[in-house]
Amino acid sequence: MEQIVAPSKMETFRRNLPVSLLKIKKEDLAASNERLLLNGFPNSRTEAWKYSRLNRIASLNLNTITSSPISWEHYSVTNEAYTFVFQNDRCIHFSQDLPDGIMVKEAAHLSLEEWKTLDINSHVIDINKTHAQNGLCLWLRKGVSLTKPVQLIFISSGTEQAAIHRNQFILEKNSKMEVIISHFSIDGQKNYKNIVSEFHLEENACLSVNKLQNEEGEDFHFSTENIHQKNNSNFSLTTLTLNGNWVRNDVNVFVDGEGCETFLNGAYLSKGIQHIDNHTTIDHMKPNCNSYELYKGVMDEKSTAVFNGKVFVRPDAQKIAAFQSNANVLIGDEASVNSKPELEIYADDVKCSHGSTIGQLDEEAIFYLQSRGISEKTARRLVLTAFMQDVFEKITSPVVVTFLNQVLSKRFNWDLSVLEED
Amino acid sequence: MANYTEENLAHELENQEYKFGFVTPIDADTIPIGLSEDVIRLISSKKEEPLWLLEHRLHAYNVWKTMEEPNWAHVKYKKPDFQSIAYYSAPKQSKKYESWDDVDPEMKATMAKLGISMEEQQRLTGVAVDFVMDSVSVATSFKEKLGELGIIFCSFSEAVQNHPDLVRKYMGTVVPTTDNFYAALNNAVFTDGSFCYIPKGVRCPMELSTYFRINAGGTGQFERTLVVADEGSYVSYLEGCTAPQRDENQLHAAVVELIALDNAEIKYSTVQNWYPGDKNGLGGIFNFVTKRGICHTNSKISWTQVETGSAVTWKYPSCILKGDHSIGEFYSVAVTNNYQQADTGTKMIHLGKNTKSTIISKGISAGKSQNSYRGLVQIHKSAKNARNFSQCDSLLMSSECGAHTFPYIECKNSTAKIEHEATTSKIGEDQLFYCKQRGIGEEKAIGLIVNGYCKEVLNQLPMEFAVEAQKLLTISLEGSVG
Amino acid sequence: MITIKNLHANIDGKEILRGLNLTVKAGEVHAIMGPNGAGKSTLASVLAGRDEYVITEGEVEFQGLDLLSLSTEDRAREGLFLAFQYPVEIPGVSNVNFLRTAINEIRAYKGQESLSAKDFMSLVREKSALVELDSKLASRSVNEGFSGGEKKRNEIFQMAMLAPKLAILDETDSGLDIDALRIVAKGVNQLKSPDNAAIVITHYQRLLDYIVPDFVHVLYKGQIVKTGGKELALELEEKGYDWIKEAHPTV
Repeated sequence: MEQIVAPSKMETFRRNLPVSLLKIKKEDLAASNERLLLNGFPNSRTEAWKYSRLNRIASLNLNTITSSPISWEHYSVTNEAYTFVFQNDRCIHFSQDLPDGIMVKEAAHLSLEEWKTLDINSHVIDINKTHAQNGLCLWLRKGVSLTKPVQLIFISSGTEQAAIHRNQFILEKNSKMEVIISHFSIDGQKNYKNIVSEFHLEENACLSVNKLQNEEGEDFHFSTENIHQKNNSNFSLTTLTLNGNWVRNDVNVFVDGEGCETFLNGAYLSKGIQHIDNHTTIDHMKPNCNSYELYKGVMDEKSTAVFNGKVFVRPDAQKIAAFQSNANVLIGDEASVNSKPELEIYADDVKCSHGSTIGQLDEEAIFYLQSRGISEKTARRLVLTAFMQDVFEKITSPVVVTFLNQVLSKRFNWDLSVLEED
Repeated sequence: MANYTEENLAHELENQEYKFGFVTPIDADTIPIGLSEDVIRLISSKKEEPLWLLEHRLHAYNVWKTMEEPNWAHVKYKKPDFQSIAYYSAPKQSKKYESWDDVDPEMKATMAKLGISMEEQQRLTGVAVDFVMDSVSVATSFKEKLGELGIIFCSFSEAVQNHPDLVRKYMGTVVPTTDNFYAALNNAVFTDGSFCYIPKGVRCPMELSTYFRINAGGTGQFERTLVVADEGSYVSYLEGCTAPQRDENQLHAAVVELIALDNAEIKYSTVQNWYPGDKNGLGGIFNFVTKRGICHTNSKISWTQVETGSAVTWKYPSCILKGDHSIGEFYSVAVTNNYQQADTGTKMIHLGKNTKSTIISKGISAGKSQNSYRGLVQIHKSAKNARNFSQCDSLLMSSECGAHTFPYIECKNSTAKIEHEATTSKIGEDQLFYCKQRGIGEEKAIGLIVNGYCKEVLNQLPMEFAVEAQKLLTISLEGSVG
Repeated sequence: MITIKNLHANIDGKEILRGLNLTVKAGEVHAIMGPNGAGKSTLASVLAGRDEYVITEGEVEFQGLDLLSLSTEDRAREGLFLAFQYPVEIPGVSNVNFLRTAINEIRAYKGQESLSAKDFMSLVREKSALVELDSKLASRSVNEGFSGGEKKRNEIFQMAMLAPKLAILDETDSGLDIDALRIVAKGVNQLKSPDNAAIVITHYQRLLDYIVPDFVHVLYKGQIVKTGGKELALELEEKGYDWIKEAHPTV
């Protein structure tokens, strides 16, 4: 009699997910399927998932049900942008009024040849490859500099809905643009979001990405950004995690050209039983580059945070300056954090450093403010804001700053403008 | 006034290579290669051990058989064939040494060559020495004088015979029998080591030192060290290691357990200079060691290590800060040259309230070597007001080597304060030029700069050891910059 | 002492010294002045043997030796000393260790015995008094945590300890207050003898009030364009460098 093997958790997890609508190379798909089948979900012995358990995600009973389109306008960070909106598994708004020099397509409409996939694997990317429904693909032509940002909004709604998308941005030589990616949810109940975005920067291209995560409810969020930089390109990514039940961000930068600059900034603010995990890798493949990384977080109540930042300097990638810093403040009695900054250096003429701190609010500073007549509550807020300030300062987009201020004052009762006026 | 140790090196450094690579032509009682229950029974019977210890060994062996060799460290090597190692080798001796005069002259000559003197000099420097060759303790000095204070300092085997209650009470309490693959192996096959007990309130008046020497070929060395500092006591313990130059990779898998009871302090210093292999990476010791201490209330354990030897090092001297107000320290210099690989660091496990830990690690990579710092700072829920400061610096001396930093920081208590910093850079060109402009040649300039770079750690070593360590650093890096 | 002939040097392909000629005899003090970017510090670096600079032409004879063929440390051992404009910090290496190593390396080079600890220490005491250097600084790490003035005084202290034939002072006056300047100058003056010589590189005239030069040279665009006595320094102070630039537009 044929033995019936219990289906692995991964197979159960994937059984109701529709197959990918994207034209991805057959062998790539086969490889992803095989890895998922063979390895299943990573467990806590897998280094990259040591502090983020996937049990709750593995037991989700996902599906994709067509839900009636919602009005997305008030989720827009700015009206002065080329906006693309995705609700759960589908695209509900696709900007048409684009200037010359920029071409966009829905991911589902891309031909096989138009995909420029970087060679990097994880179970998140494999799930994305095998089940992606749509996404935005964009080409910015040589020398074009966009004056307005491109805005992507991902909204999830409903219960145990899967939103799996793949985006691709190609910035040709000497082009420049700004992207705002924002994530929201409407009463999300255990929705699963898996967005993979690839950014290809040709020579001298300049790209600034602001990623805003502000999901209410009990959703599970996976964001992966893979970046490939060629000579003299400049890339900056700021990840602001302001809300979210369970968030995992993976950022992988391949600095594959000389004279590049890379900036990764992150702020994470958590409450309740939220779990926020930031994993970043900067791979210096070529000489004469600089990278700067700054991640800061404040954990309240019983929330947890994870930071893992890896800097690689490959053999012969000389004259690299790489600086990384992670600072955490625990304000909740039961809040916790795991920080793992890593350096792997195979060239000698380098200047690399990392720092990681975990601590509390500066009680001296709070007392000082109180002695000047400021209430304890306000004093704490001010000191917290001051702590986060150097990350917030890195945001160059005024509309993102405005959005950030709104969320902070609404969700955390913070007022950044107080500092500015002082 | 400052000491002139860097200067004193000058005459000794002329193109020195590994100077401890000789073999002592001494008859050894070596059992056939291979590992089995019978071998373990044989070792146990040769050592005339009590039954409980044999059972302990067999238990460890049976668990070890089910374990896998760890592969998470940043090192690559050919896994040892555990069936081709001889697990017992002891210098042959017609009878037990009753006094120093009974010791084989060859053995005495070896010790002299290694700079260990059991006689007059020791009296002057005030260091009590236990000499362990191929896992067997050869001689221990100053026993009587220490005995007057109630201090027990003897070989592990002697402790098993003469102080079984103490050994049984503490052995395996810090490093459980089956803690990891190599610790389990050690528990199954260890042949000797050092034992030290400092009674309540006693401040050990001299440095206690064990010198470990691998001599015989085809063997492994599996020793255990157990140091118990009873309430309110203090001891400073030194450990030195060398081995002959051989083309084979020899395995050294030791277990060191430190127990600092309430208000006690243990200072444990190591200068590890096992044979590192030749310039092409042939031979050398695989140094897979488990070192851990437990701190009870208000006690302190301080680890200092200078690691220059071994082909592959896998070693994390750690502190379990169980008692409130206890303190753990780790000071380390790890130098790798040619094809050496080191994955070393520490674990500071904070359990008690107001516990403090400090980690200072200096890695120096040269040649084609790989040097990794791996550390864990873990603040448990119960560890209110825990503090940690870590500084991990790496210096790169060649374009073909690697320097890596893997710190894990896990914090489950919101009152903790943790600071970790790490830097990786090349040796300063400006510093080199400055030295040269003052007439100092390149090799010496490097020695000077590197010793300065490691000063914070070297300062932690007892004076005599510090001089030895500085010499080693300079020798290890000779010819590393071209 | 030293004869520099038609010296050309460049860094990263940019020519800084363009045919410099200079002769310094024993017992003389020469001042080299010039506007920023003239090549003053480059001259000091090239003479000391910093390897970022490429020498394309010219020769330098130092006490009968071909200076340019010697390594940096051998130049030092032959008696060439450079007081750095920006002295380098060497953490963990005490000043005395550093100096004792240097002195004994130089002595070994000359085939002399090492200096005993006792003799060395009395030398330290004698020479540190000369530059009013706190004896505590002698046991601190080389230049680490020193103030700007202390660093410069430490350079002169080292110079006193090593007793060079030719001392090159590279902008030793920059960043010094008047008291520190006086102390540094006093040290230099006391070390002056008929057997040694000094090249004082400076941007301003004020150091020359204290260290009186026998010759003043103006360096401009990599060449010495004017030479005079100490009064030339005063003239430069008064008129600035513009008249030099106007007089030599095509250099």
